[in-house]
Amino acid sequence: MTKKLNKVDENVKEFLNRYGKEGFLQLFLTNYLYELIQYFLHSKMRGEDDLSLSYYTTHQKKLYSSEEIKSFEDKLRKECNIGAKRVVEELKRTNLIDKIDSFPPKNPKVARIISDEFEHIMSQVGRRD
Amino acid sequence: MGTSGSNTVPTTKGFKKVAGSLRAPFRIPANILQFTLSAAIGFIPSGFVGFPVVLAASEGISFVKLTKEKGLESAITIKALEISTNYIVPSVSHELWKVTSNKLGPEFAGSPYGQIAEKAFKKTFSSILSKGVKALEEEL
Repeated sequence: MTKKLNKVDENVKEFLNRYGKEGFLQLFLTNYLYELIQYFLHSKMRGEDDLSLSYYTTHQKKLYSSEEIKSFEDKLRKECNIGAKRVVEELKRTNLIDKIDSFPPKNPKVARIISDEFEHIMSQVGRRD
Repeated sequence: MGTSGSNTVPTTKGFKKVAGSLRAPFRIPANILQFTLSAAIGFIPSGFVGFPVVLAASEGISFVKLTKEKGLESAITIKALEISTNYIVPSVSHELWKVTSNKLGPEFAGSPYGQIAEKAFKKTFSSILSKGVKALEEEL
């Protein structure tokens, strides 16, 4: 095995030993939530409510600086991480986490149920109790 | 985001709330996440979040477990990934997504939501493969 391959091998093993599959899910869902939110926050909407315009301008219609945008995006990403952690906790509580390992099951109806359950959990992200 | 420019959302109450939260004098990221996700999940056709994400998670977990049990070289061989020795990290991420994408089929993988899952998947793998435990430490 080459030196490079060895290092990558070590990184994966270290990650899984420390954080397990829950850690993998947390990181993946953080990335997913962030990308999904960014996709919608950069969408067009008719009139004054255009989201992509609102993203870059203040309530006084001035442009945010690139530092302000960067700081906002960092905070948004932190929130995505908190949301991802909640999803993983909920996946564990409902035992859905074990069904992910063998997804998709042979029966498409069961796959649909798992997918729907997951979407329901995702829709609860960010809700304050 | 590169693919985001062409997306248009309807002027619903949910998306208006998102715009309002963006225009607030003091932005609250937690509210923006909550409102955006709530409006988005109501807008995205059923299955287009759950199916790609759960399948990608399943493929990802399977590969890291295989690497832990048998080593990276064997995991690459078992999953039949074509890896460039000069670009190990991007080629593993790319090849693993190819496997996932084939299982998803073009309807899901080619949709904007499949592409979002692809970005997140590749980012996750690039980060774990190149940084190890730091990949998650940096998020905490």
